[in-house]
Amino acid sequence: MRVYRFISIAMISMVLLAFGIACGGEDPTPTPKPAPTATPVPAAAPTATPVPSSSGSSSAAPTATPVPPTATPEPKFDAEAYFGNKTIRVITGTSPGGGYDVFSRLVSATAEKYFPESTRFVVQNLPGGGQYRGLRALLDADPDGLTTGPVHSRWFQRQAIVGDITDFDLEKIYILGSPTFSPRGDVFCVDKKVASSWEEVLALGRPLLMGAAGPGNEPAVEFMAKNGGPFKLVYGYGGTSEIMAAFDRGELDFTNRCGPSTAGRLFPEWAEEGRLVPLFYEKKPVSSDYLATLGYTGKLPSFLDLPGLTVDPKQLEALQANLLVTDLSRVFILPEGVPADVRKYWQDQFDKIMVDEGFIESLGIAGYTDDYGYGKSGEMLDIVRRVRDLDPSTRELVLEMSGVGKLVVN
Amino acid sequence: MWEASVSAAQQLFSPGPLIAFAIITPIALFNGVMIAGGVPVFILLLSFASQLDPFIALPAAVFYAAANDATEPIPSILIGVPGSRGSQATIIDGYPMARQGRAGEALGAVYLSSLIGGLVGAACLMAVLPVAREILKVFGSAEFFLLGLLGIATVALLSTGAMVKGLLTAAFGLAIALIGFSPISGEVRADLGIGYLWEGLPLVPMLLGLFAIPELANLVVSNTSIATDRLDEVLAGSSGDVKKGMRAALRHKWLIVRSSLIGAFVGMMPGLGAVPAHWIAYAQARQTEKGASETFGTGDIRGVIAPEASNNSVDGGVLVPTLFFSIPGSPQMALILAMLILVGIQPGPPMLDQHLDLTIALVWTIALANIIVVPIVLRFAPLIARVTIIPPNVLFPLVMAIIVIGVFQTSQSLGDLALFAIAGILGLFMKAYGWPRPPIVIAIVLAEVVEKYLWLSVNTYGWTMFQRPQFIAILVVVLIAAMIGMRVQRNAAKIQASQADSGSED
Repeated sequence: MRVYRFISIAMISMVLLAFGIACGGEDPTPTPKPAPTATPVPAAAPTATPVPSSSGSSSAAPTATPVPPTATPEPKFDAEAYFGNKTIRVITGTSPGGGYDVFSRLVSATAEKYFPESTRFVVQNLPGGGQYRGLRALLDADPDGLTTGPVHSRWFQRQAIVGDITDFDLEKIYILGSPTFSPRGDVFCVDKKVASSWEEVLALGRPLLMGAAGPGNEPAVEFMAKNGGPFKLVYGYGGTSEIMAAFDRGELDFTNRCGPSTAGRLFPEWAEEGRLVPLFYEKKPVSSDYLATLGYTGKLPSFLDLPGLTVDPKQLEALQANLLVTDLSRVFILPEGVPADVRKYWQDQFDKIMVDEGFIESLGIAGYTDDYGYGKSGEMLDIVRRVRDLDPSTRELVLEMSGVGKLVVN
Repeated sequence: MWEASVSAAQQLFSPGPLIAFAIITPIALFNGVMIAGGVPVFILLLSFASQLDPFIALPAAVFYAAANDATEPIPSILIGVPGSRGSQATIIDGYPMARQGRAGEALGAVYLSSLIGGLVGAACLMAVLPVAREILKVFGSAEFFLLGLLGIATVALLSTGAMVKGLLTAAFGLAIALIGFSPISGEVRADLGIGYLWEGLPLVPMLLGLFAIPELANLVVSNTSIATDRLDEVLAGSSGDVKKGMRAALRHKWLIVRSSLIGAFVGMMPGLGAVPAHWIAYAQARQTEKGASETFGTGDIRGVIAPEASNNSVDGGVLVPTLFFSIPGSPQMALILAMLILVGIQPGPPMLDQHLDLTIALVWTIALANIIVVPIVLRFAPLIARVTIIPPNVLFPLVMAIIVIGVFQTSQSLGDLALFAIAGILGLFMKAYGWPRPPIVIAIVLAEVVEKYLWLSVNTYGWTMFQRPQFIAILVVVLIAAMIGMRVQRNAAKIQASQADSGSED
């Protein structure tokens, strides 16, 4: 019995210790309240005192011209003092291993190069509610610049279009930017076993099957499908890899995962076998060099230029807005109220992170080269304002097309 | 291949990886016993991954996963609480064995079959390496749907004697699995306005609540230790029981090989993972082994050998879709995939080309993990088995504390604790009134797989999915296995009947 008592006491102690470590772990250095960094008011220039004349006349001596106050330079932000020995939390709303988790870890690993050496980055996973839990934690964090994280596109898009998420004012939180804004180029391809040109596609007599994760993920093709285009979207695939595997085994006919960082990475034999036939692009065409490797010469048309589509002007306006909105993905933010100098420092470092060669290479390994395009705060806010300026009926269409209208928001 | 193998050996058996394995082994052993304790160490490894050499980071992660899997049957056998998704079927016969004072025997059988299963899984992976991508291209959404359905269909088989209850609980499991985001439309279903339910019901709190609370409550109420028989033998802690279990495993070597092959094959199917593999292995053992339909569920040693052999061979299978298609074969593989990216290794065709040595090193790591961990556990198995004679007033608080931490640490959400309590109350009633609990768990795990792949199959193949040769081949294999099983059972019944007649005549 003594042995069991000892073992049980030891185990309870270990469990409590582990619990304490798990629940504690706060930085022992108290986080100082951000000091207001008001620019010091320049001292008033001394006015010249009139000097009495030697003749004793009471006429006033001429007043000396006041010296204009010299502009006092703003104190330089001391990053070492502010961030040194601190832990920056990168909150992500997915479980470890998920896409946003990988992004957060890549950003954290790169950020350590640009922040003070003693600053640590820790990714904190808070899955739940379609990443809403992570978003809430981010918005409710202290405005001390020690918390950041990516916001899932669905919440950003919802807020941009509808704006009904509490305490998530896109004008007040600080948007650092996104690494996957305004992608480099895209191409949509049909399997050569099915058709070799757009005309053959139209003559097929059945829709082309394209895989997607869910409604709103493929706005151009969804638009074409609703406007007479020969496409059928099959929702439910888990992501790019699953869609490509399905295309490879002939389950799907048509894909936009035929760019250099997708097909070129996972299925290089598609290009070697001449299996891909480019048909159109959605936002920007992929490079002509890459098209040449697929055996395509000539100018790749935009999907809007394809013959056989009937386009309603209102729907087109909504689609163009929706295409802009879909660029609002993986946006890193700081919560509302972070001091200006801290925000500026963060922005400067974030700019460096986004164009860091190692970071871009890692994105390529993760399969995001085609999606890479650094988008800054101003560009994103511009999209938000443009969407909000649309008339209500068009905005409703955008909401429907984006698929975020079905979200239930607390 | 030869050069890559040599390079893999040189890199794997260098100081860096070996030191990593030495550090990880006790952690994996400890975490395997700490119920649902595997994820935090993975997260820690992820955090360090980008600073480590790929030949240290990745083998360390795979070693940890394989070693952790190897120790997870311990709580399943000793206290009737599944250590992970992959050890649920082990409870059905493992826990009754512990109650009979035969925990040492169960551990001996489990670990030898785990070792062989792990080696078979690694060997399968080595064998299919050159053609792995081609093999996976053969199977599509229709076949994945069929395999997921088979996993749920084992419910009917396992609930013999309470088949209606088994089917009803499986249906209940399917219904509650619908809660949360639809995998197809993205709409939130049946969330009752509660944000916590948007991601659906998480498995770990459900699993632990359904199994742990009723079993622990039973111990406290009955005021007995887990083992109610052979207490002196358990206390003596001799290795005799463990060796007896190992001999039993060797007697059923073909069962181990069959179960391992099932695990390796099912593990290769993207998204299916360990859960259907070990249930299908358990079901095929019950169908094909003599007298199994009468003795399984009462402490038949074959009922622990089959699922655990499969559980360990799955480790080799799930690496195939992960490494070669960037499709994680299980939740652990999602972390390994993330780690590949963080260390700068591109998954896909390069794993068979410029990184072939790393791929081979990972295969060997699985084998090495089993070779290292299993003898350690076997050595301490008699001591571990003594858990079954700890008085409940000591055992209960310890185990509950570990379980509560395990439930909370996955998502750090209080909702998980609430769900754990609710599942526990449900489990208490189900146990009290004789409703089987495994079908709920199988249904929850496989519901998304079945729903998703059925939707995909119908929308891509339509009715032609029933004409696919691969689909028909799997169906034929299952039917043949079922027919063989029925014949075996009928023959066994005839032999028993004739023995009973000759006994009565005497």
